[in-house]
Amino acid sequence: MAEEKAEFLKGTLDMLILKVVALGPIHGYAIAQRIQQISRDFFQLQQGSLYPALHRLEDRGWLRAAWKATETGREAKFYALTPKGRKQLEAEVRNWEQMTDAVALILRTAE
Amino acid sequence: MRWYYRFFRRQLAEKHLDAELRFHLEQRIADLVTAGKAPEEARRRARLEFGGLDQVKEECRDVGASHIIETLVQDARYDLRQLRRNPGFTAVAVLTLALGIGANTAIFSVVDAVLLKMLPVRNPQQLLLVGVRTPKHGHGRFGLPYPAYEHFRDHNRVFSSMLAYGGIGLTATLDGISDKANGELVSGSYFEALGVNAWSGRTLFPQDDSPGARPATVLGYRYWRGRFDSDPGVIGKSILLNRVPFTIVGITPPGFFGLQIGADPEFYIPMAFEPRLVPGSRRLESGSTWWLTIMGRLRSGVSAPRAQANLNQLFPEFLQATVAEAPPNWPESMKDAFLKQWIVLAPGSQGQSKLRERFRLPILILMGVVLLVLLIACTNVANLLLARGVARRREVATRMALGAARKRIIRQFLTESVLLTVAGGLAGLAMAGWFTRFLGEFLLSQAAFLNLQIDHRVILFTTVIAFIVGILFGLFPALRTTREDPGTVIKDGTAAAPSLLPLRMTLAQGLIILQVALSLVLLAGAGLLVRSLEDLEEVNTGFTHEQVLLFSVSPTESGYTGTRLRNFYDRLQQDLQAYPGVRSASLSFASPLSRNESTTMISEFGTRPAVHTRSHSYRNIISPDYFATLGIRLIAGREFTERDGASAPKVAIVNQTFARDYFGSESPLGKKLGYGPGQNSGPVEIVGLAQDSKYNSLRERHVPMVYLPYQQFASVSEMTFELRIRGRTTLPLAAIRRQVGPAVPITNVITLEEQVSRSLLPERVTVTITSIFGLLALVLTGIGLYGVISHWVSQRTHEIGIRMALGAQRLDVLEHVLGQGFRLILIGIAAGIAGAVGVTRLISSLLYGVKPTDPVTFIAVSLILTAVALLACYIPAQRAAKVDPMVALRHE
Repeated sequence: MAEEKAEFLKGTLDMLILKVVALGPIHGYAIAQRIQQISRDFFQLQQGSLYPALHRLEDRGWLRAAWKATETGREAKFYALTPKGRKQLEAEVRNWEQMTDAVALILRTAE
Repeated sequence: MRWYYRFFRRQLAEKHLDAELRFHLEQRIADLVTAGKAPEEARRRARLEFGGLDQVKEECRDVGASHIIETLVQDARYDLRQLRRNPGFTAVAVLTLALGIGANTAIFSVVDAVLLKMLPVRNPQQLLLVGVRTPKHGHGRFGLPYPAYEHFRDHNRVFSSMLAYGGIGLTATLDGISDKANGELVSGSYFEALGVNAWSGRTLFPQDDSPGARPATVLGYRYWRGRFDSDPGVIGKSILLNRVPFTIVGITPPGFFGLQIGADPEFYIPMAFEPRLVPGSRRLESGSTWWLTIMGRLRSGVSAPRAQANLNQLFPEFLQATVAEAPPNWPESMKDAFLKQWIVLAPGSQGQSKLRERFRLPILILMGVVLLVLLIACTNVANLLLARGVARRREVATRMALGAARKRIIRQFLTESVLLTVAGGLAGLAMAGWFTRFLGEFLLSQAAFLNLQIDHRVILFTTVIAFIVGILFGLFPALRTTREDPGTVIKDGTAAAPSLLPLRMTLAQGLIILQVALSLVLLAGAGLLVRSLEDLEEVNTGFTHEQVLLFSVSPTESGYTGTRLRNFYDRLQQDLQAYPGVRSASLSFASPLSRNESTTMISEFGTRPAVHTRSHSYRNIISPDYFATLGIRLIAGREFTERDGASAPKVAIVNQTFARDYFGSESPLGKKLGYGPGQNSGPVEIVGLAQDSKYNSLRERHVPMVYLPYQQFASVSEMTFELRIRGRTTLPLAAIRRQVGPAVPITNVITLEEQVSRSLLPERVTVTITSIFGLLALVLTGIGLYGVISHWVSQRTHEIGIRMALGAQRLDVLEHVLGQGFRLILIGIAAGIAGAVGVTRLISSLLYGVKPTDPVTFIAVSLILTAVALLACYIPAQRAAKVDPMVALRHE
């Protein structure tokens, strides 16, 4: 089951990260926590995939990073969405919705 | 993005990545502790959850597209490790390249200074030098009369500005101390036309160039630093130049050395003061004194041919005006010749350079020599790399099998060779500094100053050379090593793959043949030059070199003229003769090989001077005892004596060549000569016949020479004293200084032996350098051959073992290996001789007494080369002969 989840997550990880970051500047650890909480522990993000993904999104210009102090006063790397990232997120969400709609349609119709 | 910026950003990114992941880990630990776990336990769990830290980092790093510079840096790091692991190889390669590159850099700095560098003035390419040609002097010259300059300046329609300059000897007196200095008389337009501004103070302006102006002078920067210790307070000070008080108004900029390359004037003086500096001079008025260099700056849109045409329209007016005002005794033939001159313009962007004319060939030859050496050095390093490439075949094959692209591996090999050349280039630059000083010394003896810094142009040249070289010698081994099928190599191991070996050996062999050939060319050239120098040193000069001391004075610059001047010379000669240790003393306009040449139009008195034959002779103005002092034999007649004074009948002494040219087999004694325009000298009786002796250079064939007594000459401004001394007497300089007084500086203190030897300096330096490089080439070739044969032997240990097991004797093996080397050497020598025959022709003008294809030299250098090469082969051959067949076979 865990393996299936990982496979499933891979395709959607970028979108989930963009979505979480869209709420406001946030550091890597918090992103992992947030995804885990919101999904009610459905997704347990591995660091091995989170950080490369963050770096990839930054490299593509969808995220912008800056070092800022957290509420506990420690320096952390905060990610924020760029305008390009926002467009990308919208596009991915639209795709996702179209796909899930289509999948749902098939599942319902075939019943 | 600039690569270094990117490189440093990369370093920063690495730090940030580290911090980011650590933050994550610590945050997790903190959360776990908050959730009630013990700190130790929390730490352990967090680590476990996180997984492989390095792996995460690696993946993050891989995100950015890898930049070419970054892989280059990676390659460089890898190669540096490799190089550090092979210190012997690295040292040999770097040293070889350093020698090659260093020599090239040094010679290039000379080529640049003497042949290439543009003047540091505004738009130098617009400047043109005005030259004159006559039907007789086809090659032209650059000196013109001052009135010609005025005529061109006032009437031309092609130049936006014109300027003129000419050298002048000065005696500068400051605070009672006098020194010789070289001055440049310049037109008022000089600095403005060039666009050169003062470094401090002001330059000279047209209003300074008038006889009524306050005398102003500008100092050369280098002179100011040396003589005035960079004192900025010097501006506004007064200085006596040839006893005329001048005000120093400015200093030239550091990069400006005047327009005559190698001159670097110390004082720039307005032209109008010439008559005051040289009393009695008519140079500014005379239309037939050819002394001034003229330059023009082209108006925009005017072409050089049009400018030349315009000046040639103007020139005849000047010539005719001069002839019209010429003294009545000018012969018609002279007037004719005078009118037949025309103007030729030459590019002025590099200034005017006698050095360029004199040293062009030697410098280009040196450049060729060092390029050859560099080529040899390259082949050597290529061979080293090739041998190492063979040793690294397995590594390369493994990397290729693991998916490394061939391109990538070639690039890495090239990075390595470029690294080697960069190291070699840096070491070479250091070496070049030393080498340039050596070269500079010899050039400086020919010029007051040469701007030989290693500047950005030279460094650019070195860099370009280094990269070309690096890629050149790196590419072949790289291509060769990566050509093989990785599977074969790995399976067969390093020692095998016999089918591929001959191919690779062919390349190495080709390189060796090339090296031998290049070395032969170099050695042959060096050999020919050595033999020429030996011949030149043996030349019979016609005078005695030993135990003659020389020094010069120019008392006219300190105000001595007419009778006072003659008395000055007389007194000094008498006093010198009275010194203990001085056997005899004399003075003359020129001492032998001093390059103070002077010619005169002279012919048998009463005949009209013919235009072509027996009308010109070299001339020296001498005192009594000149021949005795210099040891020049008088064949017949007598020396001049005190009785040949100004009012006595005019007399002359001629040399053998003169006598033969003018009078054939008749005795010249008693014959009458006449010189000067229209023979205005009156009859001059020949009273002596002197043996031929060298005058200007050791190479010259004897020239006709007429000696005239200085007492019968109006004024000789600069004279050289000759003292023949007993034993080891040194020049009593202090006493002479007291004698001549502080107002007259003593210059050019030298022994005649040194002066003779100095005249051979260009030859000696060329010989020294080509010999050094010839030897270097020989050594490099030896090393290269040794390397290739050693490698060949080590590849064939097995084969040799079998041969020996089958009954071959040690001697057979030795012969076999030597034979391999000998074949290469022979081909190389044959190719080298063919090349040398083509190349040595280029240096024929530097040779003396030998032909460019001198068989003795060629055979000698071939033998030397063969001996060294065979020695280089002998060592590995002997090693091969010592192979124990049992060990060699078991080894497999």
